[in-house]
Amino acid sequence: MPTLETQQFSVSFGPQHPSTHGVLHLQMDLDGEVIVNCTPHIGYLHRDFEKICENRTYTQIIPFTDRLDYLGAMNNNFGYCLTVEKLLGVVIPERAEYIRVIIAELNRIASHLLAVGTFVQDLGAFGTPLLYCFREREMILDIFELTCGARLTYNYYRLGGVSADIPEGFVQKVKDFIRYFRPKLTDYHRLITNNAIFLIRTKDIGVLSKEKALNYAISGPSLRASGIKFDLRKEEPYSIYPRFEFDIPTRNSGDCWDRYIVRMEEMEQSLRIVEQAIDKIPEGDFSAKLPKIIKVPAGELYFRTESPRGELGFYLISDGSAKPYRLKCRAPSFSNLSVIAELVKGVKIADVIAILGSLDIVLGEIDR
Amino acid sequence: MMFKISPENWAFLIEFAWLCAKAAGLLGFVSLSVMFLIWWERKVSAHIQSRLGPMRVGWHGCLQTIADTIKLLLKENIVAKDTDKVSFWLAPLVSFVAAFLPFAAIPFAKNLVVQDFGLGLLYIFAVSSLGVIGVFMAGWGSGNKYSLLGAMRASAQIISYEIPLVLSVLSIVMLTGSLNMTKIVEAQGQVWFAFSQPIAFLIYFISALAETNRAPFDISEAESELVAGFHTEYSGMKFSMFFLAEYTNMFVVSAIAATLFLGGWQGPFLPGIFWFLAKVYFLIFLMMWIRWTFPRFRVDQLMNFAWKFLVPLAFLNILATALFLVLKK
Amino acid sequence: MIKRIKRIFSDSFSLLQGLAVTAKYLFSPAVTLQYPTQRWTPPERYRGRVALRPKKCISCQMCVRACPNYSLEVKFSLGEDKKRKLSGFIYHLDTCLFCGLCVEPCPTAAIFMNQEYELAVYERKELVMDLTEADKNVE
Repeated sequence: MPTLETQQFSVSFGPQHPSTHGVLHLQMDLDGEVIVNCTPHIGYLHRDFEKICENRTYTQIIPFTDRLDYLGAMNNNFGYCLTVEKLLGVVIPERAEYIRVIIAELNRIASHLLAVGTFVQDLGAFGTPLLYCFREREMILDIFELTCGARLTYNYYRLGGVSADIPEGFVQKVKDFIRYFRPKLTDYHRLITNNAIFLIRTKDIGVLSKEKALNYAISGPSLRASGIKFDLRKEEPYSIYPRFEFDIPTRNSGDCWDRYIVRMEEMEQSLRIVEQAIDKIPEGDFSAKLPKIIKVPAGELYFRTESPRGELGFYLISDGSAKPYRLKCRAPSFSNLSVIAELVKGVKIADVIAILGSLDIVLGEIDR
Repeated sequence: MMFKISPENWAFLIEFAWLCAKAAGLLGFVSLSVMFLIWWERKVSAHIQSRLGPMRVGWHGCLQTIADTIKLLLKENIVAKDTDKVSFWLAPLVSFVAAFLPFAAIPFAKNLVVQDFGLGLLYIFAVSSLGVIGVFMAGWGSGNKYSLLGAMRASAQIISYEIPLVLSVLSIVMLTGSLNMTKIVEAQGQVWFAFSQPIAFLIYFISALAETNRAPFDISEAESELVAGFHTEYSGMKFSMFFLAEYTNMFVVSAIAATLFLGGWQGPFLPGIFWFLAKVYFLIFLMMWIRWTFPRFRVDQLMNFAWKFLVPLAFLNILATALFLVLKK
Repeated sequence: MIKRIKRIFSDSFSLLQGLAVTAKYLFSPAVTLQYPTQRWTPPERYRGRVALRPKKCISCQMCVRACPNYSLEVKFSLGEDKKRKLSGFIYHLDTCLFCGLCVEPCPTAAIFMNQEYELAVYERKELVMDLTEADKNVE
């Protein structure tokens, strides 16, 4: 009796595809609908960030950090400025610290909103949850625009503080946003979190075990969804984070749903931080006095902060001149993406999209 | 050479011309209705998403679809190198014709039906399942892996959901004892079958969503997975034929549902055609509402849902109906 | 069996909840603007393109040095009194990062970022402009 022969075939998933989150290219070998092998190819968005930095002054680098993780640009600014400031040994005015934390946490909410929105969009809830998320994110962007004049690439943080004081009406706008956003979160839970179809699409899909997460150096919400309570804001507190009360949401099974719910709960925690900080902004300078040409003393330093996607680290070597000798960026998305080849083995195409969406990568940061 | 046309032939010719006129009228109605539906869907989705949707062309963008159609007509006809020409060209036609054929047996109002078959229901299900051939031809002919995957999914899905669909209708047929659509409508004079057969109605509606490839069962197009599924390679007018077929299909399944479960044209005061269309558009609105709310199933979950849930439920329903009929006697 | 039936009901309930949310927004007003008929006014600090008050510029080159992407060129001639006279201010919009770093060091507040946000052009060369021409009348 002749037997039916089946053949594997290979599909290029991206860099032009409706749901690859930027220009990621996945080379997938398929057996029907099941993935046998998957190779991620990156580099389509490479702009040579680290080399550019060697030819720019310390202030000039800030707008380039915006373009790493463009969804959490404020947090990138924050991380970079903290790194340089630590080597400079400059004291930041209280007011600037409060402004920085409020802005960074608002940016975290905006980033998570987009992560959740695109994740659900990729699962096939076409448009609706994504546009709801955009609607809320737009309010945050309005606040940012009022403060620094840009909606995506902010360049707001400066060495020693921020570029401008908060404008009139900022506090009221942030409070309005908090009041507006809380009920919206319940709407999301009704629309997405408990939805039966969403549950079967994400529960027990792409399970990332504790050990694997540690081995691949996963960080951020994806790590916390695997049951490891690790948040740099608590572990290695920087800026004024120790003054605020907030929890670190964790989950144990490490599947797509857990990664989603951790992000949802982190938004609530960020709201809490903003709520505590907004009323306490002290009077004073918004920036420390620094010379016009900033020369960082020779030395080297690795400093890491918690960006919306995980551990964002900058490794800075200074030779005492006005330009860094070397600046290495440890991007969280890069490590988070590295696990994808192992996670998607043996799942169906539809699950690849779910896993990719739940890891929440930004290609600007991976390719740098 | 001259033919002498006998009176019987005259009668036949007149009947044929009359049928052609009816078909043309129907085609016009369907096209208009699809244009309206596309505009409506865009409006519904926009308002659900806190947007306004098309607003430029005509009052609240009501002529937008016409503008889009003209644009599609003027587009370059792109045929990729590796396509299987015959099936690539035929597929949109097959899809559309299969979507259009069932209209012949649907009663729009009392006596307003193209052809009142005795076996109307059977005819409808027979021709409407031809659509899957068009989908598969498109997927195969495109010579694109994504299209092929989409086509495989679509055929598996449509064939699977045909079974609960027909089984759910079977209980109606048992109650009325007829496959004639008009008779089925008349049997609902007192109470609609949607109320006396709620489970059958639910099964029918869910299967109909799957039959028309609408979300949450739109895995054959699955934008975020397969780019556009079976019609990835299509552009211009050929693409719009698929689009037309999709919306025509929506109208057909809703019309069947309205006829079988919601009392067809029957309703107080207003003329029958109004009631019929109101019911159809209400069902279509439900489909849109569902589409813009839910994520989609995965392909194996979809199959599980059909075979392990809907089919047994449909059988149970038939059993219950049969018991009821026996006990009533 | 009872567990399964329960699950069917809870699942359907969750789906209905989702439908209720979308229905709520179906009847709530839209939040979008009908651009270009309706327009949004950018806030005071909005960073549009770089603009120049030509009369104020003293050709000190501070902005050129501050620019991280080398998008500005200041051309000047030395007058008889050894003072610099601005003769051209070339702005490369195509490489501009819109970061605003050039505005900060300007000693006379001659350079600023205006409120224009419709910056698309048909040809690439239109992106390179001489601000002494383009912003001739800006005070």
